[in-house]
Amino acid sequence: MTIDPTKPMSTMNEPHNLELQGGHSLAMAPSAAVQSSSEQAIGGEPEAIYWRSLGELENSPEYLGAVEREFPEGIADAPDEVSRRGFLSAVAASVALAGLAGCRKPETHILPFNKRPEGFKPGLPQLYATTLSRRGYGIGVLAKSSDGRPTKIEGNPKHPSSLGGTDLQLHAELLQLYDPSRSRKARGPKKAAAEHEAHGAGGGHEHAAPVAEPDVWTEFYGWLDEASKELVNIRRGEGLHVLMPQTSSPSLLAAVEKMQKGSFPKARFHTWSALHADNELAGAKIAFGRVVGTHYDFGKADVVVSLDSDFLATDGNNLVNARGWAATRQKPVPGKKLSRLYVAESTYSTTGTAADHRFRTKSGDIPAVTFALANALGVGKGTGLAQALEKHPAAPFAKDGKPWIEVLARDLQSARGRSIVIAGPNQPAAVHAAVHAINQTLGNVGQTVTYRAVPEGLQASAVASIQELCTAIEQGKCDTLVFLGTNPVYDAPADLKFAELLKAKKPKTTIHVGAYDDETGMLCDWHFPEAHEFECWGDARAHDGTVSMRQPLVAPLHGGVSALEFLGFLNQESGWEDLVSARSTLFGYELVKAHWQTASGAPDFTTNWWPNALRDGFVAGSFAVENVAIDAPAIAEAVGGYKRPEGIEVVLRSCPKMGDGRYANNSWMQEIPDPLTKLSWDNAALVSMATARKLNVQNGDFLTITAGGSSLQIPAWILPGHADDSVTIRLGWGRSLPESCKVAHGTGFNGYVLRTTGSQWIATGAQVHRGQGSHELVCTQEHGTMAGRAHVREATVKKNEADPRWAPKMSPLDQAARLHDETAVEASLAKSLWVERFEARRSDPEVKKSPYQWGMVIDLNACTGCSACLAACVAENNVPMVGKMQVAKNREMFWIRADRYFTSVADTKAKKDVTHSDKLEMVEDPQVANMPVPCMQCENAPCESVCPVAATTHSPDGLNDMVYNRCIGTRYCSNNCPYKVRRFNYLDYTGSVADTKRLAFNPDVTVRSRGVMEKCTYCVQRINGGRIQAKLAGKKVGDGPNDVHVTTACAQACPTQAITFGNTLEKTSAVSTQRALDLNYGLLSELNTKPRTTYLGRVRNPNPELQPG
Amino acid sequence: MTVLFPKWTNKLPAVLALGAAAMGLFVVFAVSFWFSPYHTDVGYQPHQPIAYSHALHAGALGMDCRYCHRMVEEGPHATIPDAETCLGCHRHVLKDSIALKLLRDQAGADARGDGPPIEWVKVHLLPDYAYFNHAVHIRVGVGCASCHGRIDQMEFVRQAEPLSMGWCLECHRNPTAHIRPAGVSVTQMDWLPTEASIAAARRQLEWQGENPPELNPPTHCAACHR
Repeated sequence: MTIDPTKPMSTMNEPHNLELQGGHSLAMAPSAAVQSSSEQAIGGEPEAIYWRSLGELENSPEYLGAVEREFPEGIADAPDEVSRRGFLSAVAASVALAGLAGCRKPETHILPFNKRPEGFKPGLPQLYATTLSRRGYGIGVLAKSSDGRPTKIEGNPKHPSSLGGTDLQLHAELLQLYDPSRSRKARGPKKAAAEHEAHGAGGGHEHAAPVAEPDVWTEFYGWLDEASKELVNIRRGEGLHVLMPQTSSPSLLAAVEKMQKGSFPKARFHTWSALHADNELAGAKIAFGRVVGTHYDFGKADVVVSLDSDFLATDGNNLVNARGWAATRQKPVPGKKLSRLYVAESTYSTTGTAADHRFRTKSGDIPAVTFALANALGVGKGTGLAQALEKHPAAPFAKDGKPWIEVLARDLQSARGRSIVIAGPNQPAAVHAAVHAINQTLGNVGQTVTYRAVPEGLQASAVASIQELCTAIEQGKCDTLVFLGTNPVYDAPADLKFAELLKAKKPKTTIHVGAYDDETGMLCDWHFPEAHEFECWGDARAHDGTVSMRQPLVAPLHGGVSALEFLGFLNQESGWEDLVSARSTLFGYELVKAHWQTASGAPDFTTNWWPNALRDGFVAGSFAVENVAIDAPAIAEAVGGYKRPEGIEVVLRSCPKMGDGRYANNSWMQEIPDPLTKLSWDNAALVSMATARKLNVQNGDFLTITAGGSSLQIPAWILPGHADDSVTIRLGWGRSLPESCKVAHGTGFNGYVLRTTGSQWIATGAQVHRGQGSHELVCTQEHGTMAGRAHVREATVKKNEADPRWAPKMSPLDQAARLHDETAVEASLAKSLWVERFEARRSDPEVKKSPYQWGMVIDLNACTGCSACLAACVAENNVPMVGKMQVAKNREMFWIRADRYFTSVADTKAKKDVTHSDKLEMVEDPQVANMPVPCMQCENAPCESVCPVAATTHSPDGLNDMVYNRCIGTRYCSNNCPYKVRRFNYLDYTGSVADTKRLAFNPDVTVRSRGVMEKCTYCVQRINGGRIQAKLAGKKVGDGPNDVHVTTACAQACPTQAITFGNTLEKTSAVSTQRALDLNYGLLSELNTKPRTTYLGRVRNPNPELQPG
Repeated sequence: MTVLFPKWTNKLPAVLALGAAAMGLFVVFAVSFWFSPYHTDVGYQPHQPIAYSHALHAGALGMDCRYCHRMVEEGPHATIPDAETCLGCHRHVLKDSIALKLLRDQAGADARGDGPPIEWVKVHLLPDYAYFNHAVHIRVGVGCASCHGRIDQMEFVRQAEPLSMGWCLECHRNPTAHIRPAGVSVTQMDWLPTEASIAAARRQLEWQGENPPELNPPTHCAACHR
């Protein structure tokens, strides 16, 4: 489909990609997206833009035809004496139509505080430590607050679950806060039907004030008052069932306990999370007789075997795991001992891309692999366990004719006490139990593997808990049902038929507290918006048990209430009446503080403990390491219960982008390509080439999958390296959110329909056959070819030791190699007519004066391809999301992209030696190489010399500057860029961004309109900010303890610290030491672009016994 | 043959050409002056909700600029004072004056501070794609008067300088006349450069042994356009 720029937008965009058009009304003119922002905002639309609460058109008669200023300078101080979390309003402008004065710039206003809060500095962002939760645990983050609203999330370097790193979903939480489709008003039962017809989402189109509709809360207060007479006084809570997410939050659990010991002793509290750890808990129970949590120290492991575990990206304590593992692989100079990673998995995961050896195995066969491995290691020798394991031979599992399980066993034995075997959460309990036994046998316990307590709220089985609830509803025992942030209609096991149950056996009163008026909310009488984690007080425990504090960054935007506050309200904690009238966060604050006043046992609570806890974001002190004993007979029993499944399997996995589905309406998560498939705005059923051929499907053709009594239509996608007879579906897609959730609308396919209580993750004996029709799937990287050039440079340990400078040498014309050779440089310089500005011998006086020359090194050994850097860059630099249709036209705007190449042995052979089976192998079982590509900031930038208006120039400190206001959009620069890192705003992606979403923009970076080029700037706003800070303090920017630290968003976000940024003039800086390594090479440096962003070649550590050929 | 054109039309092409050239010249001049910030922005003096007089406060009373514009040494914006700053005096001085009604409204009844904010009109408007930082200029010794003119003599604030990119670059390329030596406050409005101060600034522009220059005003694009 070609694009005709003269045609209006409607022919180019499908209605569901209203990301471009924003707003709430589908009826908005399709050409709206190409209008200028000034025309956009003028009247006609019933809803007021949220943040223009001051200077409203209605209030001020002198605003005639208000022209909204897109990005006022931010000196809009709210008249709110309460705190920094008071919400700042926008600056409105007016057009003075008095006579010819209309030629003047529109008037801009500055609205000062009444009393500026102490410590608040307009214009200077502040960082607050808080906690975001992930599957019940808390990950500490630092939230950057710009003028009173959060604009960026960073990892908290001191927090034990973050260590400063982040992943995709943590960054996405920012946009979740500002989602315009979030529930904005509470809803009561009488108006339920009418509300839905009029507004759909339960989110009103009226001017949404920060105060929740007092009517509904008052109504609820009245209802509670009335209902308590019977529910509390007589029945003592019997019939009240609360469904909460699994949580480790001490204050929330204490609130529940208080209710159970106080007014509601007969109430039942159930916990449900779609991404639960039931199998791991059950496995521990089998192995040790009690529930314990497993903790790994990958930094100490020389050999790691992953059995269907994506520990680097999605499973468990992923950020800490990734950091630990990367420490054993990064900067692999010859002589450094590298760890070795073996991965056996069915789908290609991020961890699989990091593997030295990967064995594609059906998920249903992984238990057989585990038991065979245990057998080969002699686990449980002399006990019944050994006998049970003997039944599982290693011979069936071979690759290239080599039975690899025995090889793994030998390698593990050679690294006793320095190895890790880890199983994924999808695997059944027996596998986890066996793995515990394996680690025990290998002597890893106490070294690389330790056991600690599981936080209280995470010890129970999620499936059992929700089954209990369903039984209660079925038996009519539940008359008041409260959903506190759970959505079982969407994500509960399909065989529970939750929606039907709720409709058929509807409890007398159903109350839903949720961020959206979602699938479950729509079936409930009452609905209350839930406060986002940035809007409320709370706490959680890190994976190792460390208490982690949560503080709000803003007052609830839409009058949301947190789970803790809601329970406090039900339990009539002191101050509960205020919840009705004033939607501040004070109630939650008092609850959390009161809990810790007693729980901390600290005598200096108010002066020391509490302020320190809030400042750091956590309280030092993790759970103690526990001693455990293996229960061999129990494991033997579990092993005996396994039967290798036949037929095609369907594996359901958590999605690195969607989580359990909560990010479905998040355009960042939708558009950022999936790390492996590079699919954008959709999910698919992943299959191998062989399976696709067997099913007779191509990419995009629908498959009909029937499992567990339900059927799903989902398009297929061939993922090289996927196991045969196995289909992977990532969960969290295909939601049925209301129409107003435009981002989520029509995206993906719902894997939850195939999930049953019996098989939560792996459905064996499924029926899969080709369905009707096909679906357009958008993939950002259809081609993985390097066309014979050496982009990603890889070598084995052996080659690295033999020839340390293999990386620069891989490209024979490589300037980088020649730069090490002085005489060659002299000779080439003498001949060159090109003025090399940064060449010391031809010094430019401006360049000489600059104390900084910025550079970046990306260590391909540490990069796992997780794409956290993409999310961080998007958040930091106001990168617009363009929607599915535009991504299909290659117009995604990511300033950094994570390239994913499939590689195989055949790639290294000469063309004539490549056989047909080699080619098949290329598609069926390749390796993957990841390479993040930002702007190279070339010293000899090809883009600079071709700009007709000098909109891209070179700064004296080495940056290639992009000046949006000069750019006229010839696109000659992106044409000339060999790396294709320059992105052009073909359409006005930002002019019609929805009201609250504008608040997510970083005020320090220009928001680009249509027709200008943009690209990575090495976060020049941070560099400038750092330099200014250094100047003011009399310091310099650098790595030292007394220097001002400046780093780019991508480098800061990376959980493995693969990206290093700094000053190359400083010889001791981290970036300089890495640039000096032999492994350092520049991408396409043979073009003499002299990129400032360079890479460290990847060194794989294959086992010589498993080497092909 | 019939005379089609009268004699005077012989001169027409020349006159037209000359006229076009003159017109062109005039249009160029007109645009370059009347459409430039020198004309459109200098002298902008919008009406403010409260007739606050800098001439009185900063001039006659001698208040330092930083008493009110408190963030100027720390951050990008100088910031307008909050109501409390004004009320510090005006709770007692002229406390019932009609001119200060809006201030008292903002303070609210019982001085709870919940009234509507005063909507000051911004005078020095920079486009959104140009990022300016006050703190670093103050640090280096650029005085308030260099860019804002003699505010201490203005009854109503008017924009004294064009604040265009070209105007900024004039100083960035040659800052010596605008840098105050140590010991001279940036808020001293009547300071004028001397031979000594210019020489001192010139020294600051040079490489000092190992260390880069103290005074290094950036002229590359990303310094302000990010």
